[in-house]
Amino acid sequence: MSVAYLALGAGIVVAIAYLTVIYRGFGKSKAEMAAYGGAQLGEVTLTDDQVFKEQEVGIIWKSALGLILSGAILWLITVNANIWYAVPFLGLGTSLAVILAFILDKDDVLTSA
Amino acid sequence: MSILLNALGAVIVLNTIYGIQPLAILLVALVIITIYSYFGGLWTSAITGTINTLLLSVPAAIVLLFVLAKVGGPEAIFSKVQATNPQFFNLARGETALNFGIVTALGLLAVAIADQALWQKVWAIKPDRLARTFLWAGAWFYPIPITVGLLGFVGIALGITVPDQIADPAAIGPFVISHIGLPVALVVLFMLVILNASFSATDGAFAALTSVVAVDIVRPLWPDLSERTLFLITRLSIVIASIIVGVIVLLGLQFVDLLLFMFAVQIAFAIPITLAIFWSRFTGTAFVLASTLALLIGLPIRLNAPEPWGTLAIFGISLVVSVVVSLIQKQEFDFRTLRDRGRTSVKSGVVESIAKETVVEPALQSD
Repeated sequence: MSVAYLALGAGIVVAIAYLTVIYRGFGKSKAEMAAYGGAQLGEVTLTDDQVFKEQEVGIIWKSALGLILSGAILWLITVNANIWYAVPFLGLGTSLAVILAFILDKDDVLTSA
Repeated sequence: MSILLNALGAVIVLNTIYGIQPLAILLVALVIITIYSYFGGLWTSAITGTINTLLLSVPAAIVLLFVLAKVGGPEAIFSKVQATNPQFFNLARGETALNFGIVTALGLLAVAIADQALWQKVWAIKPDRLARTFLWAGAWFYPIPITVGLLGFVGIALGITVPDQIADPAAIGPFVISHIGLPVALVVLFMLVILNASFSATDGAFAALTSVVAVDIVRPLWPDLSERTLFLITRLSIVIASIIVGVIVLLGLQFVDLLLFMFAVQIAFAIPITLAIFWSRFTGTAFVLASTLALLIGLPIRLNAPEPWGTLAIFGISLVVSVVVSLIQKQEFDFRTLRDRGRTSVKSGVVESIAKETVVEPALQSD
């Protein structure tokens, strides 16, 4: 039961941080859209093929790595019950990843324009 | 299809936990989603989708850990499941692959290719972050279904059977949560997780539906229609879709059957859409013929033959017709015309996007 209460505490902290960053993030997006008539910051580069070509680099091995890791987690679940504790904490990691993404999104179109 | 599946999911959860009648659930759920989709559009869908990630990940993790603690820990569940049938832990089990795995794998690929709601997200994301966003989102979504899926093992360990205790195998999670003596707050939390997932997916699908109705149906037929009328028509399509979904859900379909049927239909479109993107010789006629014949011939096969043969037939017909018809027609599409279309917009000094040609922008501005 202590693991569950630990997750509850961590979950509350993560939820507060999550709601804070998305509130700020959506506020920023709305300001960007208001400033650019509904279009996106990156729209100008959309017509430049290079923006897509650069993203193709390494995408195969990154996807393959994801596939191998996900397969490994599935396999571990079927051989060791203790791994079952790790999966919900990975779920908490999902929200942490979103928080991180909002924090790392440093593009400030309103000041750079 | 996505709307149908999620409406059925909401019905199963609320009916299993609280015993509420499906008609009442549908009326409340669809009216709520229809109202906020009507006024919100893509902006609302983006906000609910982001909040949905929080509500899916954190509460699901907490609820599962409390469930495991309540039933004696994962070791106890693991032993009971293994004692019931060791094959449940066999990742290479052929029977599972034939009945569910192959169809699901093809279906999930098809969803990623054919689902308008996902394409809408592609347009909404800043172009230089597309690959990063989808890779990380895919990777971090992974723990959520596994977390909730572990409830199925708990159900097996507790000896829950279909149809004696639950009418639909998809109800095993809600049944476990509401029958092992968890505090009411946790049961409500779990219900929120599922309902939120259902609502979020549905409003995303509604946003996609309005886009398809506007761009592919109304605009080509009536190009001079005013923005206001176009907006009203797209919103009316949400109301009509809700009514159709409500009627179909009340037929009492099984969730997994509906899921596999949805995959089968989307597989029919996945190959033509992929070829339209990557193969310059692919033609419009091939697209229509491939998807139509795949459904007309493949679906009856699927209804009469065991899986995965029906789904494989749909996949095969779609692929063969696409390739053969395109080769016979000997046409070549110049993808650069699409790029030039984009460049013209930028050169003219107006920052435009394809998304702006849809109802997305009016929907955003309506906020």
